[in-house]
Amino acid sequence: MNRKGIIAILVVLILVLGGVIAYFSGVFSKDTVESVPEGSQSVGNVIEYDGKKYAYNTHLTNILFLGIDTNDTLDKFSKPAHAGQSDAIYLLTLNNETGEVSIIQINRNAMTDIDIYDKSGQVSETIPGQVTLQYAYGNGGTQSCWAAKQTICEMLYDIPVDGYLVMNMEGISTINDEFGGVTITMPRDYTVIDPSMTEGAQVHIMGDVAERFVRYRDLTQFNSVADRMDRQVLYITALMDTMRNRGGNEVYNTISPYLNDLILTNLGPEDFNTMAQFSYDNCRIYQTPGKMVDTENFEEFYINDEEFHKYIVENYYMSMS
Amino acid sequence: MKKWRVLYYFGMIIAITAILAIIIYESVACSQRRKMAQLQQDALNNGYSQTVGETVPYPSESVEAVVSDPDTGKEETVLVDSGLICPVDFFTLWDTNSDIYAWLAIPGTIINYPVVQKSGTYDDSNYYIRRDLDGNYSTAGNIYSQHFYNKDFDEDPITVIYGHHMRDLSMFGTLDEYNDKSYIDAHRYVYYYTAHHSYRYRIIGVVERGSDNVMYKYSGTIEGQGDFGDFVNDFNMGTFGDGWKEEGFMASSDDHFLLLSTCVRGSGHREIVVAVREEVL
Repeated sequence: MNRKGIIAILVVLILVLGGVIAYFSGVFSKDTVESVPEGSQSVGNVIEYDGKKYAYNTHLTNILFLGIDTNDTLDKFSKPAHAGQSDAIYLLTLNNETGEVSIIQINRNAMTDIDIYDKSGQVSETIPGQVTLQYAYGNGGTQSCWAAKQTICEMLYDIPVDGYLVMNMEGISTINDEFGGVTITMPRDYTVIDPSMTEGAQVHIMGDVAERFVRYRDLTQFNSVADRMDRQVLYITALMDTMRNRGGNEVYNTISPYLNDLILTNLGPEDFNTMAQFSYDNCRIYQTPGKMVDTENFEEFYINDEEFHKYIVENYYMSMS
Repeated sequence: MKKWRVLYYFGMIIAITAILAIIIYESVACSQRRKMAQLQQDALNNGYSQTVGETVPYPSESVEAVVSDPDTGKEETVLVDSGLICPVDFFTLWDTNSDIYAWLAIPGTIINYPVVQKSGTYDDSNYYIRRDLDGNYSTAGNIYSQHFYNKDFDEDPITVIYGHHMRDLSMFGTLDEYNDKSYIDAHRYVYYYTAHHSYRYRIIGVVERGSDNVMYKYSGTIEGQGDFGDFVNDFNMGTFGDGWKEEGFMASSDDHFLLLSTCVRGSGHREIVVAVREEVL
């Protein structure tokens, strides 16, 4: 075959190839929402810690709980710094493989970088502050949830957060009563909150007592937040047991009238159902390690980075060796 | 003879280079389209099962959920009152690009996209005209509004969304279908979602207009130019643009409008679909 013929064939081949690629890339198709392949189970994020490689344990589901101190409904768009502080910060971790449940309690006074958002949702500056402030410095509603999630994820060394549930603490009594209240055995004397709460007493908590139990702190005491965290965890695990007995979709039905008002969440009925499969009796509680410093005006908590990072790696990652 | 040979080979090289360029361009555009498709899937799939066949998000009052009894393990599908949940997952959108502030969906069409807005200087107004959500060059760009004129979506009486009239029909490539009255009837409603509210708009005008910036003329913030009242008058008088208007509809100063603006190929004019806010959900 002569040169010209070969070249002609090459050109035709390239044109055909070009046409085939153009076809598959949708130039000729009207519908550009292409079907994408089913998401494959991703290999967990690989990190290097202390000279060794670790992969994120993808059997874990992390749900962020925030209790917000505000008098407004949660769906309001708020002026900067007015969305309310997240006074209760908990990461619930469910291990889908072992059935284990653990909670990380983050001290609301833990110092970190707080992003200040302007009205359009852009970060205008970043300042050091207590983590409780991040929710307040968002624009309220879903945007504050997201802002808080971003900051808290950073504090957790970027482990993924799969869901969130944010509750207006004003509404805790309402929600408490909707579920018929919770029963807690008092680990110490809390008669300052309610006369029935003597040490060892099994108290059925209803109405306003629920709110007092989770929000009260003795402001004359240094680091009163720690005692409050103890009570909050007692309350949360008791509430989760109550919810578990109700069943997942019942839980969702119970809270759905309060969505966008007292509760903001991206958890759906199926997620609650999943959470109901776990037992919360042997839930492991871990408080962020560190020390409290009393400055002139506010309490500042400084997380022990080394210890906390070690905890995260040991419990959320698997060594690759 | 040699001269022709050189020309011949030269021509071949040009042709091959051109074809390679098209192939590279297409594969880049292809991967950008794929990313957008993935985002559509991720952001519109917030854990609830969606009705089969619907790709456009509707705010739903009740959702179907498959739940299992913790004791027996038996599975069943139940209808759960969702309290009107926004079907768009803004966390996923903000994780992708925090300039995304809304979602635009026209049921029955492929217009189902995040809406971006770059804040900053006036020159950043059209930042996303040729940029994808990762900030890379993209001929399709994104549909966007201009920060300079878009203050508060809830309050602003007019919001203009710009998008390319793409040949591959992405972005606002299908807006010209609205020149057909039966298409208007079949695709009358526009849904707009922000993190705070979900809105439904009804299309009440499809017009062709010059290439001037609508907001420059009607925002009421530029000295020597008009305001919203002028828009209301011009629209009602038919001087806003040439085309179709819903019979019997009269704009008023209480209304809120969403304008979808794209170019008319070959003329430099703009085609604008005008929709009035019907309901805040």
